[in-house]
Amino acid sequence: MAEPILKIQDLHVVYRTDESTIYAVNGLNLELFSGETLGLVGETGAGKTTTALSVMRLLPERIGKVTRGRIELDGIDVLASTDADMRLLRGSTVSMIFQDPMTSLNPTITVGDQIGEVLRFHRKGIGQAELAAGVENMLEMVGIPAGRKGEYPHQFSGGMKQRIVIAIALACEPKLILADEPTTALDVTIQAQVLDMMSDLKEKLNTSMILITHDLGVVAQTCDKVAIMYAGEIIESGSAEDIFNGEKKHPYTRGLFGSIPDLTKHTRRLSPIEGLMPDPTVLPAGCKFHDRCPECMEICRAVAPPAVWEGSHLISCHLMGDSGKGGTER
Amino acid sequence: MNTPLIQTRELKKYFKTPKGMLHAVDGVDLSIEAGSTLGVVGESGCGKSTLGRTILRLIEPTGGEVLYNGQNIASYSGKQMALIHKEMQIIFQDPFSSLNPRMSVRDIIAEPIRVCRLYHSKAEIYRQVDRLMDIVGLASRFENAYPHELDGGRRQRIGIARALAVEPKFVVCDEPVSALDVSIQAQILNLLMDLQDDMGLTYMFITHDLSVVKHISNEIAVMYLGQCVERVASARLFENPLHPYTQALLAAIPVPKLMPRKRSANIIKGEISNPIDPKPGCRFAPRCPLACPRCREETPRLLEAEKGHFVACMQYEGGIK
Repeated sequence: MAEPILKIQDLHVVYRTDESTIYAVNGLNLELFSGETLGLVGETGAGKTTTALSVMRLLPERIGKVTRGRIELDGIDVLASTDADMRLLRGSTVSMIFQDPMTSLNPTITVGDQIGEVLRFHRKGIGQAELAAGVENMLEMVGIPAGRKGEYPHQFSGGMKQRIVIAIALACEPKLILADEPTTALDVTIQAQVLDMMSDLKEKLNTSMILITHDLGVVAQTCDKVAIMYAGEIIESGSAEDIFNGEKKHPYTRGLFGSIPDLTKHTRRLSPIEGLMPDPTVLPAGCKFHDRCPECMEICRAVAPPAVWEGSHLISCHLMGDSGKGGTER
Repeated sequence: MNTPLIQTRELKKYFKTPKGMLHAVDGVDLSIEAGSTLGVVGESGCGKSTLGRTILRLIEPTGGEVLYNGQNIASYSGKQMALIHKEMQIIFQDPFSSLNPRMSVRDIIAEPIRVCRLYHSKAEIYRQVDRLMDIVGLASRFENAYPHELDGGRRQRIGIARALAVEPKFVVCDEPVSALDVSIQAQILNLLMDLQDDMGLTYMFITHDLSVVKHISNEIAVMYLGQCVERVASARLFENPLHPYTQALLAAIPVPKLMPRKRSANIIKGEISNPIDPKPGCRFAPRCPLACPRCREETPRLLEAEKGHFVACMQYEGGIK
């Protein structure tokens, strides 16, 4: 098989503030091949966005720091690249779609100029006519009449703004898109439109995508692979079939599914996961999920669970394998 | 049949804007029986929050009636309303901005008790606060904490405790879980259902998420641009949605199951149109796949298509075909 487009090995990221150190990502491994869509799922604070920002090298200066690990993007070592190299990489090789379309556009620049900015930067010496054609083409592609390129962001609705953000991200046909909750701020009917459009464009341009979301429904409809994060670690990953139809599941994944109201069944009570995510400044020893886990054992409190593989399906839990003796310890 | 606890008749709320009248709520009729839950569903901008607030008279209605226990409270004076507010409370959407950051948890929950003069001595008030915190599942060690020290789920519990502090009969829940993570969402939904069983509360549950209301509601009203387009018992809505908008809304919910990915056909095109000075005719017509010329001329009325199933759509005027 070809080289992966994105390869993350043993990534550790911390946020240091005066009072405390937040362990946001703790030993994350990830591989993504060309044309694939990976759904990165988890609750607020699981480290999903931090992972994406590390790939973009956009962690907040001085506070956010990668302490260990390696990120390889299309064969380039991201963490060793200079700032100038990174600037060239962003937009052309990797782009990010941010969660909130209301705040990620510049309100004082027309949308046409905001899309054009990417093209001007990455295609040096591009002519005026070519630039205008490029901008119009991008707008049409995301379903906005090209005639509106002279308008400002506030003249567009939320769904339209997100389409513009997507147009900016795709303008230079990047190999990888990091979409950070691209539809969370949108209404369901608009969400359906945007997701549908993103899948179409992805296919057309053959880009890979990491879709960060907390909505397992969105994942089921758009992703080939799924990785579930909890407290900075991937606790389960595999193909969409592994996660949705697999027999074995991590207790946390089971809890996530139990929390979603099922439209086809009539149950009055939901079965949520009790408790809260651990405090990222003082992570518990052993399995980080142990104090919320309904099947917690003695070993879970002391020893970090091994990563147990079953084909493409990975589960980090002592329940899998021979309670820790099987699989490979991390 | 008993008088419903809450009833609205032709309730209207228009806002004046520089561009004309914004019809936020435009002639909504609904009724909620004591002890039951009405789910109000719709996209952003359809007037569902305005409806909730107008019923509580946090916003003054432009026209129509709000009946509480059969009495029209839309004409009540401020003094009379103050008494009624003891029985009607609201839980807000955003647990981050609906709590005063400079008040401790205990003071936030005690405030409505003080305002309504339910208890007078400090000891009694604090005993009541402790009881409420226990009911909503907040550990008493958070008593002196400030909202910023707590996470979203706990903050929403404070909001719930505050709403329950004056022992209301009717609570408007305005998107109480949409700012929360799924696992926390389920905890809060379960809590709200338990409270209803224990205290006999009546809820109006406003949300944009159909999957959330299914569990908690007895009846669901679907709103589109200020009007109620469909109203029916919860289970029936999911079995047999009649209005094309409801059908589209249901089809758009991402289901966490693997299915063949052919969805383009069901997605409705376009976006919610402008609620400023709307033209006559069905407001969903511009996006409706089944719209006919008549839909653009006449406003459909909310009629009973089958027993207990109300829908405002031309195609069901003579009942279900």
